[in-house]
Amino acid sequence: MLRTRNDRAASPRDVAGCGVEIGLSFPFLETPPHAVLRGEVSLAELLADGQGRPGAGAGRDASGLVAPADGQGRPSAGAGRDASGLVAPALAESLPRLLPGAVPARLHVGSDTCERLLPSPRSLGTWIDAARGAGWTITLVLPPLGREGQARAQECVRSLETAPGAEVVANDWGTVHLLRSRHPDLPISLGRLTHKVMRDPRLADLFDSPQAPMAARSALCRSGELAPGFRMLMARYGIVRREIDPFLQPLEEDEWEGRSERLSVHLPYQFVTMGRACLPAAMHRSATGKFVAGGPCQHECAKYAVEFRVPVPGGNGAGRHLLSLGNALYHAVPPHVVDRVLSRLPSAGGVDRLVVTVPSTRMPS
Amino acid sequence: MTRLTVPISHPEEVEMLAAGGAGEFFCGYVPPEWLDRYGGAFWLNRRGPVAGNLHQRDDVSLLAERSHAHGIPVYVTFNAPYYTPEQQEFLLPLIGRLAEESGIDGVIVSDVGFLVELRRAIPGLPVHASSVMASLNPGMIDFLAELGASRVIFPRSLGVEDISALSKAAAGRLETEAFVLNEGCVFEEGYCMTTHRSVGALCVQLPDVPHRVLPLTAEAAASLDGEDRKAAREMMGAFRDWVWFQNGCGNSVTERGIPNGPCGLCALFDLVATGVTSLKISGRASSSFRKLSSLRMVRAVLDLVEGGASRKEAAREAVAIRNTPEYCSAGYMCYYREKAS
Repeated sequence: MLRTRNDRAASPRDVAGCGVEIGLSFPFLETPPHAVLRGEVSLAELLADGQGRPGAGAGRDASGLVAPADGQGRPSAGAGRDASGLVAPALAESLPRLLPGAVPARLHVGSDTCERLLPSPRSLGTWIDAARGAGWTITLVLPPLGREGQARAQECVRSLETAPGAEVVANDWGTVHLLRSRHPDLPISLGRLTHKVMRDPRLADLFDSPQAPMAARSALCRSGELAPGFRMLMARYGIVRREIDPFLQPLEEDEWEGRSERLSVHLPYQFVTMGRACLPAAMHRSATGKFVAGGPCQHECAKYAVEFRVPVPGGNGAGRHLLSLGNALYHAVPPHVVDRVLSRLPSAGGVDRLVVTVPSTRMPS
Repeated sequence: MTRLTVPISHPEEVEMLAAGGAGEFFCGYVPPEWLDRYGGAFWLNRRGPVAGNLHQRDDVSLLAERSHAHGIPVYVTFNAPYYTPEQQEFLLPLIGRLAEESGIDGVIVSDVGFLVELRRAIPGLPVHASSVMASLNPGMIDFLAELGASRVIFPRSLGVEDISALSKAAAGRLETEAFVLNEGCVFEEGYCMTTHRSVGALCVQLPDVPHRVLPLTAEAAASLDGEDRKAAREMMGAFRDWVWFQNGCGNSVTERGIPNGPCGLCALFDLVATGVTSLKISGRASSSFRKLSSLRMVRAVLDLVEGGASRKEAAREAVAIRNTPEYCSAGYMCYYREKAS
C-alpha cells in the first residue's frame, strides 16, 4: 500500500495533498521498479541518486569532459554525482520545499523517443500488475512510431484495457488518429515531442531578450496550439491532456493557462531533439551498420549515455550540458527553471501533473 | 512517370532548370513585412530569411508564369515547425493572394493546425505535408487524407520499404514525395526544434565539442575500461564521420562541380518501384549551378531507370556519375543505406 509522508494510506489522486499528481517515468527500465512501488525508495532518494539506492553511481568521479582535439572522443568513465545531469539535485531540493507531501502515484512505462523501448504486451502486463498492486495508475508512453512500431503499439494498448485509470501518451498524430479510431474512450495525452516550441539550450536564454523585436519574443515563447486549427484537432480527437517540457525560456502565460486540456509538465529534463538513428547503438555495430535509422541495437542505452558540452554565445565559457540518452538529446534544466515550473503547481488552470523522468537502468528489486 | 521536384530561388533559374528536366518547383517566399516583425529570429520557412527565398510577390508571380509556360507547377514552402495564432492570421491572407494573384499551385506546411486552417480558409489550394511533419506511419497517411492534404513528403529517415508501404497506403488519396539528393539531417527533422540561427546546426557542432561516454551502471563502467573501450572510441569517431557526410561532406563539391553529400541515386530503381510520385532534390539556398548539376545527375539516372535499366546498371551509373567512389563506399552518404550499391 502506498503511504503518504505521514504514513497514511494514500489514493492515487490525493497523495500529493496539493492537487498535483506525480508520475514517475522509467524509459530505460525493463522491469517494474518494485522497491519504488512498495515505498522502500523515496522520491528524494531517487532524485538524489538516480539509481534508487545510496551511493549507487558507477563508482568513479568524472574527471571532466574529453576535448575532441584528442581525436576520437576518447571515452571517460564516471556516472556518479557530477555535472552530467544524470542526477537531479535541484529537483530533489525543490520538490519537497515547493510541493510538500508530494509522492508519486502514476507509473509511466515506455520511451518518448525510441520504439525499441516499447514494452512487449507480456512485459507491459507485469508493469500493470505491479502498478495496480501498489495502488498506482499507469501510463503507456509511445514514441513517434514507424510502421512496425505502430502495429506493436496496438497490441500494448489492448493490454491496457484491464488497467483502471490507464492512459496513453502519443508522440505523433498518426498514432493519435489510429488510437482514436479504434479506441473511442481511451484517454490520450499528447506527448511532449508534439509540442512545437523552439527549444535550443544554446540560445533559449535569449528568446525573451528585451533587445529582440516584441513579435519575435512572443513567437519564441509560445506554440501555435491556441490557433483555431489546432484547437479543432484537439476537440476532434478528444485530447484531454498535453505534456509540456520545462522550457528554458519562460513560456507566455496563455501557453499554460489558455487551454481546455489538462497539462503535465516534465522535470528535470528538457527534450531537445531526437533521431531515428541512435548514437549509443552505434557502439556495437559494424561500420556500415552504424546510424541506420531504425537499425537493430543491443540496448546500449541501458549501459551508456554520452554527455556533450556545447558553447553558449556570450556565456561564461561553461557551456550547456546535453545528455544523449538513447536516440535523443536532453538538457537537465537549471534550478531556477525547476523552481519556476514547480511554483506554478497546482495552477489555477490545468497544470496538475508532474512527470519526473528517472533515467536509471537498474533498480533494487 | 516519376516527377523531379527541384528547388528554385529566382525566376531567372526557370529556363535552365526546365531544360534540365525539372518536373516541379518548390520555393520560399519571405515578404519584407515578416522581416520587419521578426528580423532573423523566427524563420518563415526552413531556410534563413535571405538565402534561398524570394522577397517580392512580383517575383513569385513571374516565377509561376514562366514555370507554367513549361507546364511546371510551383509550390511555396511555409514549413516552419509552427506558427503562432498571430503569425497564422498574417499568413492566411498572404497565401490567399499568392494563390489568387500570383498563380502558385500549392503550399508546403509543417504545422498540423495551420494545415487545418489553410484547408478551411482556402479550400481549393493543394497543401503538401512537409517532411517536417514526420509522417512515419500508416495512421499519419489516414490523418492527412482526412484533413484534406494533397501530398505527403516522407521524412529522410524512412527506408525504401517503408516508403513503398506508405505509398501504397496513400495511393488514390495522397501524392507522395521522397528525398533523392542533397542536405541530410542527423536528427529527425520533425522532432528537432533547435535553430540553425546564429549558432549553426547543433548536430554539426556536436562532434567538435567536449564530450564523454558515461557508463550508467557499475558493470558498464567496468566494460568501458575493458572490452567496450575501443567500441566507445570508434562510436564517437564514426559519429564525427557520419555528421560530416550528412552535412554535405563539409558542403563540398567535386572538381566537376557535383555536390557531395546525402544521395539516393543508387536506390532510384527501387524508389521508382515504390510508386512514389515525386522525388525531391534539396537545396533552395544553393547556387544556380549546384541546382542544375544536381538535377542533371538525378535526371540522368532516372532516365536510365525509366528506360528499362536494371537495378545494378542504374546503381553502377550513379556511382560513375558521382565519381567519388571513396565517398560512395563509405556508406554514410546514402539516404537509403539498405539499398546502397
